[in-house]
Amino acid sequence: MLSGDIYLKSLNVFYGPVHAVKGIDLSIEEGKVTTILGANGAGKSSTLKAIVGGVNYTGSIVVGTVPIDGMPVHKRVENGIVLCPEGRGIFYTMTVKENLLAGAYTRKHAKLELAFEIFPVLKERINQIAGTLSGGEQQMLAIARAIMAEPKYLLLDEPSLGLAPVVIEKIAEVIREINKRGITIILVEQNTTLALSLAHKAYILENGRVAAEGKPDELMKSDVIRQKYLGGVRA
Amino acid sequence: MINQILLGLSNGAMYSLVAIGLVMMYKVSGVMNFAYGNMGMFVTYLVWWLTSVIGINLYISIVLGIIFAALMGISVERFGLRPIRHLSHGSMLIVTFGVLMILEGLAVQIWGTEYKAFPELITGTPLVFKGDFGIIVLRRQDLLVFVTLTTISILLLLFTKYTKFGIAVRAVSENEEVAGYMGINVGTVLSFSWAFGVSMAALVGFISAPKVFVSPLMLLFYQIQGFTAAVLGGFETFTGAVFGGLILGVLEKLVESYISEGFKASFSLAIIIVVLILFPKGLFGKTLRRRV
Amino acid sequence: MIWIILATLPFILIKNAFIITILSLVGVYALASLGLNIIMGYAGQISIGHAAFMSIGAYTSTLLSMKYNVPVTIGVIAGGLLAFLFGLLIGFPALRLSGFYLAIATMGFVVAVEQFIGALDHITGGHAGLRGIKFPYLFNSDVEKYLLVLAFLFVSYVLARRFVNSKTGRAWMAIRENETVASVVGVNPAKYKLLAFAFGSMLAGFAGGLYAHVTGFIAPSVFGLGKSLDLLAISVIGGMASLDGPFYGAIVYEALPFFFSRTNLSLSIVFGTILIFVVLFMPLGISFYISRLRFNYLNAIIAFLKKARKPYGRFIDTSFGKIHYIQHGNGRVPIILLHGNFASARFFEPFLKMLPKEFTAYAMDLPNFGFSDRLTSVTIDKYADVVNEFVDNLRLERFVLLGHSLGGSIAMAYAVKYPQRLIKLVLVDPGPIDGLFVPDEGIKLLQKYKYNPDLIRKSLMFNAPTFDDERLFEKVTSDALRIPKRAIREVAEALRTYNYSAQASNVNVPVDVIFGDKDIILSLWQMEKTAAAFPKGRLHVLKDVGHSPILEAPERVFQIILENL
Repeated sequence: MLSGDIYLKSLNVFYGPVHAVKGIDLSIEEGKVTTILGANGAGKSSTLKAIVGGVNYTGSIVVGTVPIDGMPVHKRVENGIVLCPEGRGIFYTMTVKENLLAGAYTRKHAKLELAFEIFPVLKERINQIAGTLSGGEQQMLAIARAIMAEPKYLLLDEPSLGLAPVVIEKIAEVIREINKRGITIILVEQNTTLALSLAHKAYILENGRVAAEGKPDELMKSDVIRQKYLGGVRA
Repeated sequence: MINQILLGLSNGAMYSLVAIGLVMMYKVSGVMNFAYGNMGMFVTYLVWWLTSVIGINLYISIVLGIIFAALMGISVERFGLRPIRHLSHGSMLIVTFGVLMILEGLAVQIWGTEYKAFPELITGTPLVFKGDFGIIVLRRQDLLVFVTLTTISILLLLFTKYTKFGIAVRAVSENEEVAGYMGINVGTVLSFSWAFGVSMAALVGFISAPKVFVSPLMLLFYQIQGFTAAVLGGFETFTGAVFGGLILGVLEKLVESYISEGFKASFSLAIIIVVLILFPKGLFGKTLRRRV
Repeated sequence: MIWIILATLPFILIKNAFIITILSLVGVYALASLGLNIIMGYAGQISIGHAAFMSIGAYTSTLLSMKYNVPVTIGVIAGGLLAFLFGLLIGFPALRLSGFYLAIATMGFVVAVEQFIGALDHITGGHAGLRGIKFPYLFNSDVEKYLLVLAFLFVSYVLARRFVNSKTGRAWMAIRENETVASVVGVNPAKYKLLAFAFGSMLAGFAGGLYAHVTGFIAPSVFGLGKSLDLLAISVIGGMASLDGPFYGAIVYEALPFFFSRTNLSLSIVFGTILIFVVLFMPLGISFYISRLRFNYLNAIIAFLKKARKPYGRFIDTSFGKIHYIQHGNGRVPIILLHGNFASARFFEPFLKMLPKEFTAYAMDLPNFGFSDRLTSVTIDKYADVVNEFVDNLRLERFVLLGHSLGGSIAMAYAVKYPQRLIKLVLVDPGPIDGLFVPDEGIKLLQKYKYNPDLIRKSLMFNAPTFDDERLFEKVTSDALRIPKRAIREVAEALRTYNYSAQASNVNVPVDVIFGDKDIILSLWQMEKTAAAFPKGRLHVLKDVGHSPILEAPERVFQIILENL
């Protein structure tokens, strides 16, 4: 199992001719919540996918002192780097339980109670087909499924996407709760208010490059940054 | 009438077996394997050769044949299809056409076009039941087909419902990318699906060979019927494949006895077209997803 | 040209009937897989039942000519038309099918047609087939058969080309790329798929009829699944989305037996292996490599031949090397003309012919362009310095400076450095005041221009949509071929790195910005910004004029220059 901070060193991601991430450097502190903000197409999701090994990249990703480039996705998951993908991506035709078991694929024994502790509601729906859950429940299932892999680093890609404000609040609580258990969180969000309220450190990407970085309150002090990237969020 | 239906079910069970293999490969890898019949044909030739020419025990030969089938499936998927995955769907289909041509050529090259007799896997007098319903004749061969289909269906059900790898297979077939993020080794699942699929083709070859004889085109018709069965069943579920095959078998038997035998292929074509137009998701379809 | 060679070929080979027959068969298969290319390559529908349409064509034309003495040509056409109808018939359900479903349906179709024709043995001769199909001829049956095939092939090729290059062809390709998107942008996928299917089937029908007459023998099994797959392989190997691919594929298909005749190796193994190899390693087929060969070498040769060699003006020495320029008129007001990217002094020729008598015009080839010397590490400022030396050497005190496009950017750079020497600044569709952004991808594309006279000429023409004198474009293109390849990138990069917004306020001479509203490179907004940056800037928008008002509306440009001079 890997441990320590995660460092991205001049990370580049290409999709054919499209240069999605253009040589960014990020450091992610262990045990903290780091958020990556930016507009659509800024390269946020690609960065997350690179960390988990889901896309080809150049540059280097180091966890603690160990470079993990060349490690396939399933090995990274085994080593505790787990992505909860965007758009929920649950297995719609499978039951809640089967979804959770799929999440625990890399673990010898699936600890369903891990998920139920954080998401009691899922216990009631254990045999329901996932596609019939509400939007909020689907998102919770997606996070719960990622938890089943017993991550040390949890990469959340837009967990608030398409959810009602009440549900978003619930998700925020859950993220705090997960972080309290010592799991490092990398949160990609377009909902900047939510992300900044959770994060210890934030990066802002623009056109595949880091446009700004710092503690959330520092970033919000700068008028330019607030206007340009944070949609006028108030400090 | 009942006997006609029974005969139809027996044929249909074969189509179901074909369809199960096709559906497994399609569900997981997204490729319709057009070389399917020829892969089964090739393995059947091999087993025939092992038993009749080399003189190895039939059952050992069959086990060897299944192993060979699995390896063939794995290597075609690994080296012929995986390099162009996500690039072009059409190209993957075309690769299977290429495999079809090669295997047919190889079979002709090695063993010629003569029909070869394949030993019966099971022999004995037909079972005869008498009762109020009349006389029912059940051939041993039919029994073998039914038992095989039932066993495989049940095992498949248990496997996909209750084993970790089975769930992984379903996860990959539903969303390959996300399944990868769960730490599932997608490559292994792809290999498995092709090993399983081609083994089914071989199994169909062994069971049908005593009746149709071993020849380069022996499974072409089964393949088309398997497609039809899978289309009937909606291509997405194993249950659909099983019932699609059985229904097709019975329908076909009825057409054969009441109309003519010469139009079997036309009949299947008509079924395919009608079903696809009226029930694009098959008779048992309930899918939420379409591959694009 | 190539068709004429193909047409005379049989007369050279007249002694060798065997080869002529082989060539005829190449033509037949090329024709059939040309049809398949329309269906698969252009409309993106996978069909493995193509031989069934050959079968329909073959039986129709054979039966017509054998039983009713219908002339062969008419018979073949009738076969094609029947195949067209069947194409519609089978294509209609196919509209609902996509991907492998269609493949399954067409596979069923080919097997069904084979069975069906075999079953109708009182008409079709059953599975044994029909032998000794007659071919009435005048002087040499093989040559005439060949010419007949060639004629059908030629007509079909021309038709297919028409289709592919028309709205229909674009609709097909849109469907191939993404059916949903295609229907959103207003393409009716059903209609176009059906058309592709029917048209492709018709070509197969022709091919089938011709096959019957060329070989004199047909049977249901000749047009089975195996032949369908062979046709598919011909298409794929030749190159699916191409019109010439089927020829290469058919040549490979017919030539293979000769290479492997000694080895006794089954052809379906060889052909299947080639098919897989092509799909995996050269997915665009032979046609792609041939066209690339043409693109890289043939164009380079043409480019070399077309490159301008004879200077037509005078030279002047500067510290930036020799500058080539032309001088015109002898009025009292000097006017310096700076051309745009990929252009040269020659670009102003028609413009100079209309030069009012007040002016003496000097049109220079900017360094890197035309016959002027090479300039390294290009910046717009450096070009402005070149202009400065140029006017010094000509001993011009004050003058009018006119720049078009790239020249416009340079003129601005000059104006902010030496405003006192200008009588007036005229910017014709200039690079915007704060630089012209060209993405990296665009620069790579531009570099392709280096060896492609055709592309240069076309892009010059696109940028002067209402001007047509092809000879001028030819000449400017020949100058453009002299541009060093590295300069193409450097100039594009220079264009995106300048910004004179701040300094422009010091330019106190009249500035006329002229903009053609059909410009496809610049926007009105950029031009407004540019005009507004100068204290005495005025914007003139010319209606229905493209990027090159110099060529498209010279009298309007002169009118603007002469105002308040």
